[in-house]
Amino acid sequence: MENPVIYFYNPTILVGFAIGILSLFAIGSQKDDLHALILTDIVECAMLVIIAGVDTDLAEALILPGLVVSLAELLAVSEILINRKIIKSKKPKPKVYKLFEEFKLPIYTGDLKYNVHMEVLETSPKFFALVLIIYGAILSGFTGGAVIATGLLFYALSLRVRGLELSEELKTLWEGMAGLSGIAWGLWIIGFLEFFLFPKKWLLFLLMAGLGLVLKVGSKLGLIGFIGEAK
Amino acid sequence: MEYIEYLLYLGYVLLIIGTIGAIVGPKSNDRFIRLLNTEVATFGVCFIFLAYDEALALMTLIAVNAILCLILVRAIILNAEYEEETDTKIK
Repeated sequence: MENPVIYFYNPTILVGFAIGILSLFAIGSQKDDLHALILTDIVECAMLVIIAGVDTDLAEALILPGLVVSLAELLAVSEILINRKIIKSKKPKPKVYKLFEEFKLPIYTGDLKYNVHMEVLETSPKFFALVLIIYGAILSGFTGGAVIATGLLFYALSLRVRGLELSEELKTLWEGMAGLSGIAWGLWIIGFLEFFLFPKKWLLFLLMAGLGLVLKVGSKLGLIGFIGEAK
Repeated sequence: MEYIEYLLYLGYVLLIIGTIGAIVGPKSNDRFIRLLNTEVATFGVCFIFLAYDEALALMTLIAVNAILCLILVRAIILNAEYEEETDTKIK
């Protein structure tokens, strides 16, 4: 007879458990907060592998929100750790605090002596963002939402890297999109329900659910770029 | 053994090596080196997703991991900056 452990568990799930337990022990014996935060990344890997080992479409659908949630979690915890360090150093908060300001290009921080003008830095982010948003709208659904959010984030980060502000109009538009989120949720749920109630009109309801999901995911992830601007 | 199984076992190996490297690896007291070791483990997860035919999850993992790397590098940079300041203040 086969080994009962291998009989009951897929090797992927065993590897996932082994790594999860190892990294949790490592976190337990860790004193530095930031090291523990980095090790949390591995616990997340173990979680993803265990879910992937189930090997169904439902598992894939569970992985996607898990990834997004872990991203938000790590962002929040890292912010808390940084703020704690700032308070400990007994120095007043440096000016207005902005997300991802450390990645500003040397052309725009004033470190570079020469006045270089690069056309490609001004025009290409807009082009890329527009292409991504249009492509995401055509794709629809979760993937489309992720593509749209990538476009929005890319635009916001490119402005930050160049040391510019988001324009007031764009901010209002962004906030409006986030407000649409509730309606989008309603569209998605209704589309999904009617899909089972009236199977003959499946195309309409499929499009409704796809549109709802694309707005929802796009606005939610795009909010990361918007929050960076808030004071 | 089929081709995809080799990929799966490669994924396991990368995942385990990355984890052990991050926990007890050489110079793992440096935060950047620990972060790079976790990237090895993430690559293993990518291979396992590929073997289980989860294309959408794979694409999302790659995108999320890029943003995650930015966040963690930023946290490490700022932490080191403020740690230096507190040290000089004590002296």
